[in-house]
Amino acid sequence: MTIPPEKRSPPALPEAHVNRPTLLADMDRAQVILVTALAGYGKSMLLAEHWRHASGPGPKVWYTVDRADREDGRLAAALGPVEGGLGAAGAALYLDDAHLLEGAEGACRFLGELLRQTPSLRLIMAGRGAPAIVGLQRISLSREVLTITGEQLAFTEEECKRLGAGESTYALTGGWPAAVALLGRGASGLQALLEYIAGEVLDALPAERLDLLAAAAVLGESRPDAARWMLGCEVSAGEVAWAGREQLAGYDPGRDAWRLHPLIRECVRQRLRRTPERWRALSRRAALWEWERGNGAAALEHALAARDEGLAATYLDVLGFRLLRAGDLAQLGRYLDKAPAAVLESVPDLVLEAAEGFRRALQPRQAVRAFHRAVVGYAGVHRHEGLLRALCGLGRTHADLGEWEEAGTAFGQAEAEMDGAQGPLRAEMLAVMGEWHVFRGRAEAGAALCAEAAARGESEGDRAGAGLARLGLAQALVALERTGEARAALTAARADLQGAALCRAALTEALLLLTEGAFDDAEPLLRNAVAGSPAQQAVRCWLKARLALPRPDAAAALRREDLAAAEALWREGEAAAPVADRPPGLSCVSSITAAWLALARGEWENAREHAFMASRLADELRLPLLRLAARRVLAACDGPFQQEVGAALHVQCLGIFRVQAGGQDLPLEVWGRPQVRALFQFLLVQPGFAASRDALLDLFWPDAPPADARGRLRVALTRLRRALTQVGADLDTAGDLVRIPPDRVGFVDLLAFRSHLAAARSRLPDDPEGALAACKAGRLLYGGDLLPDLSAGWADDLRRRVRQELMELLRLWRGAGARVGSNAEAAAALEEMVALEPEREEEFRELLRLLLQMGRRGDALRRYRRYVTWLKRELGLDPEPETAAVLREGFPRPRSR
Amino acid sequence: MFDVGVREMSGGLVLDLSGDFGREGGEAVMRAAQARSVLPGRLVLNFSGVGTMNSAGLGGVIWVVRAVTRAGGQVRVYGLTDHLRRILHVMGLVEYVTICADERSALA
Repeated sequence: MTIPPEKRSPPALPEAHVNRPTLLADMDRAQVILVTALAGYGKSMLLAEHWRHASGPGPKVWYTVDRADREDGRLAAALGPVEGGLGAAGAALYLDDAHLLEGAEGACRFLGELLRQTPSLRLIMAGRGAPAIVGLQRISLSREVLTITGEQLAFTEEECKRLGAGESTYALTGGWPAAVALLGRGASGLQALLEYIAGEVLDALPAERLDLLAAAAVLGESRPDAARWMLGCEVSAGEVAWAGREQLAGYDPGRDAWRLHPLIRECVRQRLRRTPERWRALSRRAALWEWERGNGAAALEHALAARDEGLAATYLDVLGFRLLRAGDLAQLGRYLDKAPAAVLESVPDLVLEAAEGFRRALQPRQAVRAFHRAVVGYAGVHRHEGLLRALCGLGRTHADLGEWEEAGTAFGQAEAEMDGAQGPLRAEMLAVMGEWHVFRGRAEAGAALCAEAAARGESEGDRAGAGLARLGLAQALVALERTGEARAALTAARADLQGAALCRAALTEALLLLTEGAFDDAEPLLRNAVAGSPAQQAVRCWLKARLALPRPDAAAALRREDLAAAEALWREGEAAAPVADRPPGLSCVSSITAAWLALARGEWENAREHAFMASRLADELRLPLLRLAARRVLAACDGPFQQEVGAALHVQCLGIFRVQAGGQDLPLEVWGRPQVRALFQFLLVQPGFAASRDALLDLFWPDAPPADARGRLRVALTRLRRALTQVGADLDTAGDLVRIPPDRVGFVDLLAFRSHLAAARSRLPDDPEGALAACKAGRLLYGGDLLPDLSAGWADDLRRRVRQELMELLRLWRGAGARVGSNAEAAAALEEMVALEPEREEEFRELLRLLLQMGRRGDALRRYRRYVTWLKRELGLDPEPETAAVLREGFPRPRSR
Repeated sequence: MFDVGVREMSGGLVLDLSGDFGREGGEAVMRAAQARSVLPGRLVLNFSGVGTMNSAGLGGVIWVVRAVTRAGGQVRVYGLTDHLRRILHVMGLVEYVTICADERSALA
């Protein structure tokens, strides 16, 4: 019989071998050593190390067992005569893979006989289990028998670190040496590891053991009663404990259950997913098991894994309403994000309530997603009332975000459905429609609808409906400059409303009163308002801050403690409604308050900027009361200018060209001719608002003879001076330079934008939070392209440059978001970048990745589809393979055999 | 009055929709899809002839979209006006259907 040489020699020790001096010392003291552990625990390496370490006088024999050695007589023949004999003093027999002899009676008898006849022989065996050597128990009475298990072979945390593995590796592997080594190869290491486990551990197991593992892998633990339920057959405690004996699972005394080693569990689950039917069947059983035991969250996870939409919807409905009652929107949001669309659409009532909750809690994006699902859910089952509510909620949320086109579509669809609405629902929807008309500048129509809604509500005994309608009516009346009637409508609304709606009415009335200077009337409203949502808390704080500042008619100077109290209240409001994802309406109120605070501190520039931002936001939102409040503070910001030289100019040139003085828009007629206006616009965007006469001649009259051109320039400058004088500004034309004196220009949005850009650049390295704030402030100021209506070469060049500056700001915003750990901020910046320059596919990919990381899979898919359509339509291209790959990673397909 | 024309094309089944898409339209679409014993692998909805659409009509579209996608098929639409496109977007249906520029691309 020829024995291959590799069976006779121990394996070479690898370079990165971890020495085991303690185990070696223990092995030296024992005569029979059994090393039993799973594959990959280093059993062979330990034997090989001992082989090299052992220095006795007698012969050492190494033999690696294989299946052929199970044949009767083969092992004895293979070991053959040993020089000096295995009976010599100090002789040692090393048997690797000894578990292969399990059940081989002849070989086990031979080993038992060998031990009996050679009392001084040391037998060192390694295997995944110990063969039943005949007579070993008797032998153990007279000789030292040592058993070394996987627990002792596993690397310690310290040993893992020495091998360069991180803490997470130790936590995942439990120190399993092969796992640590394979994971050290990175992402591909994990898959290689799972394949190793599948091949070395699972493939050798009989079907009934694999079934037990499958049940435990799905359920997360193994107990006799759970296993019986999962497999639908009798399972004994002994069978369940098998996994523990094989070191595949650990016992959890707290739960009286066995928990699979995480790697074994993951490997089994991966295998199961290749048989989707079985995976789903086991998941479904696990769902029912957990639900019976009151573990709703686990039951829902299993039902979703089972793709049992009916079961998942049932569980989600119960859990979801429980979470709503407990006010745990965060957990509810996680469930809604995980559940597929079909499940969400079968629980539209839950989803609609969740959407309304998200909207109140200042999570508008989540609210929009949920409203969408509710719309589809209700439409699918023809539930008209719910559909109407969902459409109106969707419209309002889009309006909160200033997304007017989307809001218009949602409201338009709601309006088309209104005919079917009756009773209190009709009154409520009329009020919403009325508000919508006010948003769109149709105040008269809005007032009429809201008044009708209020009357209907009263006649039908729906006081809450009537109250809400009066809130809308008040806004319409403010737009129509009938503020006295608006106050009366708000006071009447408060009499009808309760809870959060009452607070909303009180805060709206307080804002109106403060804007009108009626501080004494506003004070009790704010004192008694019980804020419900974070938004209401924030607004209440900001209005109280305004109340703490000097009244318009106050003669006494501001006291330091009053200013400190006002600033503290403002900060409290900021904390209640964090900036990220804050709806524009809240940002507007915050900016108005910040402007008043800055005025109180004498910070005129700061105040003007806040007032300007508030004014821009209020215009975007089209909320009459906010527009009124913003106009008042903007006018107040003129302060000393108004006293000395008239109102300072507030100029908007990003997105629109608009000049205001004293809070009032200057009509186009002020400029007389387009060229005079263009001259003013050119000077405004120059450093120091100045340009040389020669530059103006070259730019505006490049083809005219020089004398003509100079004459035309003189006339244009005269007209410009006349226009500026009318509004309290001036023009300095002495010498070669033509200049608008800077002290007459209160605010130019382009300059403020550039100032924030510079601040963001300088703050990003050391103060990413500050950089983030600067980026967002800068973005708010960028209302659109520079001087969009002006068609001139210089304007086109400058416009391009400013767009590049915007892109730089957005890049800084993305970077600052990443630095502060906010995916939402980074994603918001990327959305803007891609909207500005859709051909930036790399940025689009990054956006997709972030959306997927944030769990916004539906958003990611929608954006991807839109992007593909745009690429095809505009550029005739398909997306790059890398882009599709990002999406595929976020929507992994189940593997099929 | 709403009408549904049915055409079998090599790339899928095309439903040509015309009229104001209300409850009658929604039911007609469902009947046209149910008339086949096996749901198509690709269903194409041609909206070129559709004027207005309300939730009842949309309900029919949703039913058909769900039935086809659950059976592993796809739904594509074309011929949308800007208004109808916005409605599909606002109603969240763009996640379930692919909007195509024309019949050729819908059947490609």
